[in-house]
Amino acid sequence: MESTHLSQAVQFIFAGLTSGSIYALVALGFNMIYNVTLVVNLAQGEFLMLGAMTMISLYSGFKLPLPVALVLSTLIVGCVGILFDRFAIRPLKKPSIMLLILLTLGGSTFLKGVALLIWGKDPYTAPTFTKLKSISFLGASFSPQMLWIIGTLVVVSFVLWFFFERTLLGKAMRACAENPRAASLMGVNVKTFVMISFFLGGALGAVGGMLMAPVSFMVYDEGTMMGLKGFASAVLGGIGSYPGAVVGGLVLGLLESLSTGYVSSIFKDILAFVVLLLILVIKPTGLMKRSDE
Amino acid sequence: MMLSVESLSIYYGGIQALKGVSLEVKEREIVSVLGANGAGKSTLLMSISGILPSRQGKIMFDNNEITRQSPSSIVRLGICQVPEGREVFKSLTTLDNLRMGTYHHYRKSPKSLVEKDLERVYTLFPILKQRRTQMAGTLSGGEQQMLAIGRGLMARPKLMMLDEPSLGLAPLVVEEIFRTLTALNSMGITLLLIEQNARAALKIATRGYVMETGKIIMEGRAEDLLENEHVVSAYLGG
Repeated sequence: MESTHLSQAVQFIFAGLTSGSIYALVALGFNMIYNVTLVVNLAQGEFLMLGAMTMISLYSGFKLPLPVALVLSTLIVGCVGILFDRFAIRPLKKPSIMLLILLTLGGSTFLKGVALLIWGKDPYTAPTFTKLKSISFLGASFSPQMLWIIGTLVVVSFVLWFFFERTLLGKAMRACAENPRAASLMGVNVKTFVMISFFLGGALGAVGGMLMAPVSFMVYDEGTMMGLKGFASAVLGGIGSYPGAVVGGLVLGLLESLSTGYVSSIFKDILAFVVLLLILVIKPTGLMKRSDE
Repeated sequence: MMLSVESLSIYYGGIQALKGVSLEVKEREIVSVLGANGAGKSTLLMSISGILPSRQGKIMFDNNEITRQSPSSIVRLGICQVPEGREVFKSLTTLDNLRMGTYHHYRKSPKSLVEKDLERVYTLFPILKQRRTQMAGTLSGGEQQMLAIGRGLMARPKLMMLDEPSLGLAPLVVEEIFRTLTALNSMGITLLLIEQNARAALKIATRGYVMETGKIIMEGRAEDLLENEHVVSAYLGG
């Protein structure tokens, strides 16, 4: 009896960490764009959907080897991010916060529409990255894809930390975010960094989507909910904070999985919004961000 | 002639902020631009730096026309601006702020040379060495101004343009800043200086210009301006 309780708890926790890792990747993408441009990109979830769909098409449709399909999809969606900036955001003469939010919302609908035209309404799935059978741990069993998902989040977090803390290019990107004019006076080409941020935002979304594809079904409008949950995670951790995005994503994933497991699954999709509202009322700066920043 | 600005006009939100401004800076000079708030002094520096695009006029630097060049290529040519209000990167450390100054040349510069530049800044401002791991946002106003100048110096400028470096600082700190400016000049750096503190600025300057409502209304040698009736009554509180 004791051991089934334990294995059940372990199962819930790992399920939570898995979906939480995806939320974290979406939230990292949010922050990437927000930090450099102050744009809250509500099309972030569509980048995730596009990543998954493109990867599935390249792999199952064009029969490309999996690693090639993964890399190519990341690059393609990164470029979609650049185009999004170039043709939707940059032409704005007088950007206001409200206008930008409406614009990204429109962009999200547009990308969904394009996906509907290309892939239709059918759900797609992808094979797991490794052909291992399920893994057992403390009586719970997992798909090996879970290791890929959590592992990728760890690697992505480390790479981002290294980039922003240890390279002058990363620091220049932070400088751009903080004070674009002073950064230009130092010779930093701010437009290039805005482009890089949209590329990375797209790429991070795509990575989340590709990791998710083998363990769930991907439909053309799957991105919207994931985008909102990623947004909730980013706000939970403190919008703009990279460690916050990781913590926010994992916390939201765990809350969802534990409430589904122990209470009822009807709360699963509401939870993100409850968390979002609570954090905005109680601590709008988020969990990981000091209020003086 | 190192820098020459010819009848530059800038429109800023529907208003003509500069109305045909002409100005020259020779190598090794310290040129000071005086004027009240809103006379267009900062606008002038921002357009030389390429941040505000000019509609009419011509800016030449070291025999290159820079009128429509991007801010980054202007920095690469050797003009660096220390902006009004310091504008240091508050969330980066003091050392990282200084490194940001090297942004336009760090890929091509040997590390030892950058270290030497860093030592030069630390010699000018020993306090920055003590503060090197501190976030720039936690520095005092005077330290931030030193950091802004140090950061500009790391860019290895031939011409450094300073916008109100003494604004809001204690008299002792102001003295130190002006001493440093003279030291920078004797290292071979040409200075274009905008200052509210007209007396201090004219004391170290070779020549000066007086701006009013977007126009240059007077120019001359610094010692002449110090004795000019209009300058004395309008800017030197006499």
